[in-house]
Order: sequence, then C-alpha cells, then structure tokens
Amino acid sequence: MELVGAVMLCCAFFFLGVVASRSEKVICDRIYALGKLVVHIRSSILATRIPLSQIFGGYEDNVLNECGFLSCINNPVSTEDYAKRWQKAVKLLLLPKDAEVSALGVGAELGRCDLKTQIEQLVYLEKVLEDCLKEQRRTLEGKQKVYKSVSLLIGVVISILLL
Amino acid sequence: MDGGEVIYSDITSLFKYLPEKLTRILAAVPEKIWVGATEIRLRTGSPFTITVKGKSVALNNDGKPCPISGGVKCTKKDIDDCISLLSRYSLYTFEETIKKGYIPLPDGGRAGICGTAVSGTSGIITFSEITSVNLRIHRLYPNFAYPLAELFRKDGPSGTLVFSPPGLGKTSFLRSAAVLLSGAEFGLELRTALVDERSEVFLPEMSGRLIDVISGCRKSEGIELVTRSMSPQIIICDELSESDCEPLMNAQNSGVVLIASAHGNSLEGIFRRPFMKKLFDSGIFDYSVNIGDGYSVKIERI
Repeated sequence: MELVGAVMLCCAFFFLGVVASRSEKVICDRIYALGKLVVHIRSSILATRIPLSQIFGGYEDNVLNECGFLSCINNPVSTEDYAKRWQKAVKLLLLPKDAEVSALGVGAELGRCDLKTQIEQLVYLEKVLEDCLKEQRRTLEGKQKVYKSVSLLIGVVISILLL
Repeated sequence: MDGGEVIYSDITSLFKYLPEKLTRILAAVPEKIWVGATEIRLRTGSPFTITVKGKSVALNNDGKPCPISGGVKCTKKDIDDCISLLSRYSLYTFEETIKKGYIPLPDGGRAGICGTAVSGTSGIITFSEITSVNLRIHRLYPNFAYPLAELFRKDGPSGTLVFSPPGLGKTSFLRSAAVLLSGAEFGLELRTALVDERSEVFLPEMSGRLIDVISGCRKSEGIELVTRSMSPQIIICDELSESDCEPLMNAQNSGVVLIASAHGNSLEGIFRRPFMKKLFDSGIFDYSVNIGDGYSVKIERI
C-alpha cells in the first residue's frame, strides 16, 4: 500500500511537471499566433487599406481564441479604440517580457498613425516576435526535460520522506 | 429658396464622431440654434464652437451659448478621440484624403482637419499632429435649382456655370441641380454623374435618384472616367480648376452637358482666368447662374 501511495505521489508530481512544461509550449504557440496575426494585419493594410474592424473581425485563430485575445479585440460592446483593446488583449497572452513590451508599444499606436509609420511598427513587432520565438523554442526542450525531471525528483523525495 | 423645403442632415448623426464630453453639451443645444448651424469646430486648447449664420458660438457645460472666453475647451485627448472616431480607429485608411486636409464621413460629407503637417518633395505627406477639426453640417435644399430645372425643361439641358463668392451656396445649388435633373419632377430624369472630388457634394438624402457619384479622386480623372464608363447625360462638378479644362472639353465633345461651379464675383472676373477663358471660348457654357446673398438665383444666357 505504501508503495502504491509512493508511486501515485510520484506520478502526481510528474504530471505537474508535464503541465508546467506544456505551459512553456503554450507560450511559444501564443508568440507564433501573435506573429501570424501581425503579418496578417500588415499585409491586409498594405493590400487593401481596410479598417482594423474588418481585419480583426474576419480573423480566426484557435490559440488566440482560447486565451481570449480575439474576444477582447472584437468585443462588440466596447467603445474603446483598437489601440486600447490591443493593450488589454496582449496582457492576456502572458508573453515573455521583451515581447510583451514591444507588443504593447506598437499597440499603443495601432490605428492612430499614418500608413508608413503603421507598417514600420508592424514590421518591427514581427521581427521582435520572431526573435523571441526562436529563443523560446531553443530553450523549450531543455526546460521541458528540467520540469519533468525536477517534478519527478520532488515526488520521489517526498515519497521517501513520507515512507 | 422661399417656401422651399429644407432637408437637414440629422445633426445627431455627427455625434458618433465626437467624444462623449462634447455630445452631452451638443445634445442640450436649443433647436433654434441648430437651424442656422453650419459647422462644429474643435481646436486643441480652445473653446469648442458651432458656427451659426457665419458666427462662432461657444457653448458652456449646459449647452447654452456663452462668450468665447467662457466656452468649454477642447483638450488634445478630445481631438485624438474625435480623429479616432472619424477614422473608424484606422487612420491609415484615410492616408490620401488626410494629405488633402479632410476625412470623408461614411454617411456623406467630410471633416476638415489641420495641424502640424509633414511635407515631402510632392507636398504634404501626412500630419504629425492634428489640432483642429471642422465637422460640416450639410443640408439639402431640394428646390434651390428649381429655376434651372424649369429652364432645362423648356429649352433642353445646356452647359451651365454657377458662380458666387465663397460660402453663398454654390455647392447647395449643385446638390439641388443633381436631385431635380435626375428626378421625375420636371420630366427630365437625366443620367447624372456627380464628380465629387472632396466628398462634400453628395449627401445620403440624395439617394434614390439617377445619380452616379465618383468621389475621392481628382476631378480631371473623375470626369474622364465617368464620361468613358457611365455614359452620363449631365456631369456636375464643384470648384473648377485648370486641370479640369481638358477633360471637360473632351466630355463636351462626347455630347455631355456640364454644370460646374467657380468662385467669383462676376463673369468678367472669372473669365479673366486663362483656363476659364479657354472653357468659355470652347462654348461649354450656355448659361450662368449667379448665387447672391440670401440664396438669390439669377440665370443669364452667356
């Protein structure tokens, strides 16, 4: 019985480690999804000059939907401009600091500046997100192994202590 | 204009372009003031005013007229919010019109803007800061051009030059001409093309008529385009300039009747301009319409 309990404890902690490692992957997915959206905004503006309401209204992405980013942007009862909505929505993504600061900075001028400046800002944000994503992916595998190993180790230690 | 019906642009339709602080004040303005109002003006750091019969009227917090010094002032945030609302939160969409100093409204009309311009080799590129906004309150006087429509009904349509000093109603006359000539009231129902370069002639109240509208492009391009593709019987355009000369003459050669406006106190003064003289010599215009004070209309054969 004690052995069964110890195994279950180790599994529980290992599961926690797996969850923690998946959250690291979620961050990568969100950075990737945000990058795709920024590319979409830039190319839509360049090609058609359509307003942001149409750009965001017609955009679908599972990752951005799940974390509430698109709901925040497309909130039908909001009277705020897209710059303010973007600021709120970016905070839902829980991005790494550098990416979040850049996304918030660019978002502060979203829909408020001329075409050339708007495009330049979006290109800048694309680059920042690209670099951030590369960095996150590089460290992702290592982090996932660390989370799983450490959590299993903690489970084993606690099991031994309790036994 | 006596006894003529006036169709007002719904003033409240402009409220959606203004911050709440200002719409609350405007909602309290008495009806008798709105009747003569032509503009709503916002200026950073200055009192918010409406223009009534040519005079600027400042408003206090209760929507009552007050001395300019006592009026509610507009802040930078008010202007920024107004621009966000005018541009539907997408300023880049209006890149081209902003260079020309205005933002067209989706339901007709336009908002004039000015501020700190950024210039390049080809002129103004954009504005780094917008500090003034002028929302025009448009009105349709459907029977203003009644005398001209009556003349066309009797003698057939002919090229017409509408002139007056600024602010006396040339644009209103052209609107009425578009409505009456394309409508059934005088049995004319002419295919009418309106070349509305600065999106200030056509109003939603003019819908339902046989009017094709091209806006947002230079008049010269618009005139050529509609002549080629819309086979109009009448072309109406506002504020002639030199670049409109060739396209207008080409359109006339295609058999299209032209009704256009120009600033000026007299025909002699207008035809002293070389391009206007050229148009006159080409025989484009058979009639002149002089708009005077109090919307008086005087039609003469040229």
